[in-house]
Amino acid sequence: MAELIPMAYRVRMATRRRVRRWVLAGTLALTLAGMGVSGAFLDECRTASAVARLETSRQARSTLFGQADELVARRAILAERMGKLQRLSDDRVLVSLLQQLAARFSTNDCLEYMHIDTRSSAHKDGAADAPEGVYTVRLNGVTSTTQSLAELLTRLSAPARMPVTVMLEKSNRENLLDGQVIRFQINCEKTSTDKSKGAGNTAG
Amino acid sequence: MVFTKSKMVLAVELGGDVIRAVQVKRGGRQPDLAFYAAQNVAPGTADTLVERQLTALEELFRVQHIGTREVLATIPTSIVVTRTAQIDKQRKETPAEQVQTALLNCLPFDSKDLLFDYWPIQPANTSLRSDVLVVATQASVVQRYLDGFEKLGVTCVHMDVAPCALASLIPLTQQTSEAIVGSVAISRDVGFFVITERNRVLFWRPFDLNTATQKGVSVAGIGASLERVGDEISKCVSHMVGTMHLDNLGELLLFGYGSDDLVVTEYLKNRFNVAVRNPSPFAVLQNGDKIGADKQATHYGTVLGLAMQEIAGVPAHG
Repeated sequence: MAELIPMAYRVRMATRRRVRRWVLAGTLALTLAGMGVSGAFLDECRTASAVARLETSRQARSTLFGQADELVARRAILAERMGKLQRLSDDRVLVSLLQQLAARFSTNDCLEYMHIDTRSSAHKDGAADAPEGVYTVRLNGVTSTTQSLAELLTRLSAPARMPVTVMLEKSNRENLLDGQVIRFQINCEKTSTDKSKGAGNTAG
Repeated sequence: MVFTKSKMVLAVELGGDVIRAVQVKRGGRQPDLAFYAAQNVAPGTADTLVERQLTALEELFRVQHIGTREVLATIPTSIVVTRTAQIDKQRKETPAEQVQTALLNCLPFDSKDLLFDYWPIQPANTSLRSDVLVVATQASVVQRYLDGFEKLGVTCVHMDVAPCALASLIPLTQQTSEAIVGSVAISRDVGFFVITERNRVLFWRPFDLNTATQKGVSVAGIGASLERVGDEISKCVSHMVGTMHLDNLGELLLFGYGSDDLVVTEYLKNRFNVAVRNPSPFAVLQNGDKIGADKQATHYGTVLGLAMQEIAGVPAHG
């Protein structure tokens, strides 16, 4: 058989065919690489979106959990206060003490504010073995004169079923309505006894 | 490599009056035919033959929806020069240069526009001189064909002459491939006679049937000018006996117009005292039996031989 195609043409065709194959292979490789990169990018976007969704969900849940914890804490505090009130209302020593102190007020005296502390001063200072059943009652009020104040202190200090230590913390004269009164602050402390023990709570 | 083991190829015979194409899947135990088709070439002058053939090929591509990108082609014998040359191994010139020198005296065109190929026509021996058969054509004409193929979007991977293509088919149609065989291929107004041994062309001679067409004979081909064809074959046989010392023509094969005519067969059988056959070229294909009844089947001998050629070291069948 004869071959009449010039060698130059055959070389050119072979070169062109090889270049075409390389271009095709390159295009295919680039396409695959592009698809891979695009796929990775889309996957990354999907992952980031999922992470953002989970974070939002977690934050929402965290807020709910915080609110729930706060509510539980508030309810616990409320329950504790109610328990304290219940204990105080059930405390006969305190009731008797208040009855005793209230009976010592005369018509010249007026009680404005009373602060009851069932903790002892040692307990307040953080002593671990502080005795319980110590009541400190701080009385704030007004009286007509220094004479009536002295008489009030005398009556409060008088011997009784529950002896208390009375101490005038401060007193001062001040105008009230169209006259003058003596404003006082008296601290009454009932020390612990074996018979009566307090709950060790504070109520204001 | 151009060819892989299994590949669909389109073989095109660029005839002077008609182009024929077959698409064959090569690489199997036997090649498989995809389709075969023919397209007439518009009449015109010889200098416009290439363009007219390419126009017909374009029409064929359009009608058949051909998607093959690689084409094998044969060019017409009318644009090819052939002669026997002698290579002297003692001379300083290379065999190609000696062939080129031998061609200078017989070229009908400018020798600078020369494109040729050659092959030995004698078995390898130790003698210092050997005969080769040369085919030559104009490089510019081949380039016009190649440019036309590129415009059609196909690449021509092999371009041959019609007798060589037909020679590739002949061993496949024979019981014994050792004999020297003569083959006649006739188209509408031209033809060639080729002598082959195995698939090697030893000699070929083109001839035309102008006398028949000039007389206005309606039956084209060999049947209308039997005497002339017989004379041409006789000249070839004489040359074969005189120069090549071969006188044992095994059989004569007929392809193309008139090959199925009993008158022609009997005439050639009686004149040359040789067996005459007109085998169907499609018989060499796996599914070729389906086309055997087609009267035009023998016209596709050249183009099927082209499709069966070994291309770039890859045979047509496994």
